[in-house]
Amino acid sequence: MSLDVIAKFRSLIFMISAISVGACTTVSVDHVQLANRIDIAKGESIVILGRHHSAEFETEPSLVSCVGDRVQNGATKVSIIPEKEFTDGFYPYFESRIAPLKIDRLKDIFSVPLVKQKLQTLDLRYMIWIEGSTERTGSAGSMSCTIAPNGAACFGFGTLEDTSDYEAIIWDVQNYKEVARVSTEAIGTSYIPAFVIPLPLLARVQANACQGMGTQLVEFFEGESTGLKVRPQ
Amino acid sequence: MLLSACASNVVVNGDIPKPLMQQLPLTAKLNFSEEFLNYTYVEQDKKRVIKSLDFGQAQVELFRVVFGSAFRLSEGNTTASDIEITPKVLSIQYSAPRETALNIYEVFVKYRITISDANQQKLADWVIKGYGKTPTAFLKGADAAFNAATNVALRDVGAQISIGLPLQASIKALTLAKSFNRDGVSTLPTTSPTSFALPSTASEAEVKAARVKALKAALKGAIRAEGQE
Repeated sequence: MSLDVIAKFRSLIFMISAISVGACTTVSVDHVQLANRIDIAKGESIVILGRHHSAEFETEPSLVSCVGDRVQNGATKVSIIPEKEFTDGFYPYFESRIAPLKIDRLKDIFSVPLVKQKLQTLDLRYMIWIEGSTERTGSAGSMSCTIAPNGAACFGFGTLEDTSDYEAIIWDVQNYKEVARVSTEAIGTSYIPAFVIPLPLLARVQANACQGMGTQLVEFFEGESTGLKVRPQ
Repeated sequence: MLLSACASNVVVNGDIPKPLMQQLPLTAKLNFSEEFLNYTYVEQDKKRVIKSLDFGQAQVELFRVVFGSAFRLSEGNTTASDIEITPKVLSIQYSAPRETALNIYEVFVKYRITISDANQQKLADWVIKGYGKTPTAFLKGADAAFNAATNVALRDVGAQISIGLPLQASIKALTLAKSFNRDGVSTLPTTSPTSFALPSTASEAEVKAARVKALKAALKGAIRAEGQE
């Protein structure tokens, strides 16, 4: 048996074992509640914003909109204001380098007459800031691809490890208080076996982090399992 | 990988919202040079990610929207104006993930904004730096990423102008001078930039005291600026 055939056979075994294992993600969600109650009345709105204030902070817009969708689907009593609609409407006060990092600064911004006037039309109750990102934290394996006149083929096996680390901070904008924090960490390994064609088995790390964070936020606002109740209108 | 591997010509589509700011009682004229109107950064290094970055139209839109919110804009050469504003691009820099090993595209842009009065006397010379970044996204090419990052940088410039302009000493002094009516009483509303930082709960006396303090500071700044000239 030639070395080439052995290598192909080995790749096939890797591919089969990878498919049987599948890409996996581990998610851990922690939360801390700083207020006795997180009330929200029907019709009140929430805005979810990503932190982008320095080179190290670049929360992906896809994560922010994913959490927004999840909260909107889970907490039916609240309405979510899309991030872009909010930042455009309050331009320039929530731009990357100007947005308030502390709630005291938010109070100053909301006391500007034009901002105050616009705010009254929104019935905004909570502002959720998400900071963090998803990064590639490891990779292993090798893959080689060959292009020949009669076609192309890849052989090998690789793994990629991605880590999502996000924290959501919830501000009550009517009482100017931080009311809760939710931290989510998701670690996932993707497998890329290649036997003629690469067959990536990608771990949906960011999507799982979004799901974990979104579920916890829904529990806050819907009052499930935390004993919190939605205030009747 | 294939999408980001090719050097490209990027045309930036402006996306600047109207800023939330009180319009000042001044008429302004925007002076855009031919170079500014058609500004395109051309990359000399052939190994870099982009060949050119055309954001002339986007930056003109930025200055029209922002200064149009701050002042009444005078159209053409016939209308008189209180001030003239001339922006100029001083520099532009960018970086791509393959150059920095970070998974973000970055754009830095630096402007000089010269503000002069109706007699062409310089009132302010303002250097503003804008920074924008955008993360890499699956199946989105360098063009889309640079377009987004440049827009963020332009929005950053617009944000600094919107917040900083009413606080400029010379603009404050001109606004004050323009606001006096025939009885010598300022018609500036209490929501003018001179009371910008006051909380809504401030009493009448506190508002008055703060206004006097701010106006004094504005006049002092304007006098100092005039002395330096």
